[in-house]
Amino acid sequence: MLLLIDRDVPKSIAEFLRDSLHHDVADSYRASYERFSDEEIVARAIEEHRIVVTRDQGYRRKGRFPICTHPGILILRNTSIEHQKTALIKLTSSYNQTMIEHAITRVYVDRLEIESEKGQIRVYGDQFEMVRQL
Amino acid sequence: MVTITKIDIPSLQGVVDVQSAPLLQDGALVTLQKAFEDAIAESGGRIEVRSGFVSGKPKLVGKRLGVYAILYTLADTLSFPKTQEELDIDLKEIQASLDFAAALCEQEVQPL
Repeated sequence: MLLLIDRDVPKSIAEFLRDSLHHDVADSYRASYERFSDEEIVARAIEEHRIVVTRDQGYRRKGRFPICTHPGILILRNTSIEHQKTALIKLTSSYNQTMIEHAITRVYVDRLEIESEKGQIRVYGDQFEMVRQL
Repeated sequence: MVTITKIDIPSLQGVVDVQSAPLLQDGALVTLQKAFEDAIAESGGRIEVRSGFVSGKPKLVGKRLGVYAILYTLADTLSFPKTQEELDIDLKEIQASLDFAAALCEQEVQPL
């Protein structure tokens, strides 16, 4: 996957995605990223066809970044770096990438929550079966 | 917790966009306005709120890094050096984040 790592994601997570999971990672630790607004980050992601990886829940505020107007946004919801790594391994190995493209997805250690166009949230378990719809 | 319906903090007027600031949104559970302002002051000028940056949440001045991320990482690693390394920040920026949180807590415990 092509990923754009937001500033709030720990460095070891960015390195893990690049070095262990072999994703194409653009990270935001470079000085030029420091003053980018959220909108500019998403604009860059669109330009480079990258999925944004962040810990900031604010991206999913209603109407801010509508579904299908961007390559995708992954919001890591586990506080622990180790849990985040576990969740990312599962995401890479178990889930179909098309599920998360152009969507806003919250990534937990045991599930994915993917928002649909109509604001509904689909919850997927470890075997990427849909568990429930919120 | 106190619910506010508008922003009347002089230092934040023209800076905070209510639509993009969840902590200050109409109807949201937020801390007292003065507590918020005091907490920013307690940070020694290292914490700011800017519309469109970090979803309008308190963040380090000049950086796309919210206070929440620093506190999460510190709570996870239990290490100042590790937190500095993970987030590429210095010790004073961690301290400012802790001061900010402490100032909010203090106001919460003894509301105005």
